[in-house]
Amino acid sequence: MIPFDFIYCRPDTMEDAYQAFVQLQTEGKNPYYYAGGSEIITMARAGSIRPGAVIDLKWIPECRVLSLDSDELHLGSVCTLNEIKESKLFPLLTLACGRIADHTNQCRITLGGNLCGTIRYRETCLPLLLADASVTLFGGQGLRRVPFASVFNGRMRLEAGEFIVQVHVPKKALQAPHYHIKQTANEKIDYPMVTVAALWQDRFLRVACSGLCAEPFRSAEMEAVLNAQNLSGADRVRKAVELLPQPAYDDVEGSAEYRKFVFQTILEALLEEVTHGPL
Amino acid sequence: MINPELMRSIIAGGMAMGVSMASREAAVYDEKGVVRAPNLRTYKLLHIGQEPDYRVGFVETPEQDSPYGVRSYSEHGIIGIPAALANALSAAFGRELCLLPLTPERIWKAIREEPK
Repeated sequence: MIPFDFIYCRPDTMEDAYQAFVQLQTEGKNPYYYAGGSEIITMARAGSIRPGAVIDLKWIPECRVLSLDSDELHLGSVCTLNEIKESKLFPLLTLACGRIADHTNQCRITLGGNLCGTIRYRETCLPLLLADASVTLFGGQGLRRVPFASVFNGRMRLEAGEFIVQVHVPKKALQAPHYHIKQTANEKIDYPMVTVAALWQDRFLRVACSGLCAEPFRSAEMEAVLNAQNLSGADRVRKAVELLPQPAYDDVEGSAEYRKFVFQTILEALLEEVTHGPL
Repeated sequence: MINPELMRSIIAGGMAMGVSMASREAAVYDEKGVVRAPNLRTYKLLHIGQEPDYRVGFVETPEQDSPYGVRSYSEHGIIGIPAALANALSAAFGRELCLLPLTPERIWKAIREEPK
């Protein structure tokens, strides 16, 4: 159970949500934006967080959008992983959503929650980084739309009180050939030891990774090496593993050395498949 | 045997505990002696859906000293499984693997540290 009382606030508009946040913050209530709640409930039960108020974004129409127009796919921040998966509009994101937690939780966890949460894997960011997605935010500046990569550097870098309204994915990326390889310590349903997502666009292999380092990343240097036509596949992989943006993560699920080994075998399999087709 | 299906279940239950223990369970501590997997979120057990096919057979030998020759039984299946798993993996990888739990990472380490 959650051993403390908190205020539940359910705004109908983006403006009301932001105003509620500012007001509750001023009153010292330590407010949290709330979507699926899977992480907030778990952490409040465990005593790791103590929000005095939660602001539920699920009744704001702009945050609920899931639509495709002639240029882009628009995904509201409170769409659940399962809604995105079942829409089948972005196959790589479908694969990523389908491997986060189990089906029951996929029906609760939202896109925005997965991106903004404190659980470090944030696997839905990988397809968005690869697709050159952009994101619409609401906060003190009102609405602003920016490239996703400009506000996601390992985790969301939002201004105080700001929240994600929608994510926009260019149509070009939706049907590009793609790969999603998730390796866990032992179980099928688990946090990743290493997850690699890749998108083949404009004859260039784009690669992003979660689990390997403390935070998920897409690295231009690593992609340059992986696409270097003058190098053999083995050399590309070897050089790519040396280009980690942070040290490999080390915890009870897997040592840093083992994670690098898993990453290397995934890259080998990935390049093999890109070059010669599915195994 | 008084209740063969119940006996099979108890033995298979022991085997399940043995597979779980041998393949993934470990009390790991950090350098300060703090448990690194302190709850069932991080200390992972074998669960439904991951169970192999358990084949159980009984050899009936009366217990001479007890009334009617009856013999009690329990989750004895747990005893042999770690050794059976270690033997199978040792045969598969061509080297002696005898430290539990036999996780993929531990096997990788054993192979790397002691090349064939």
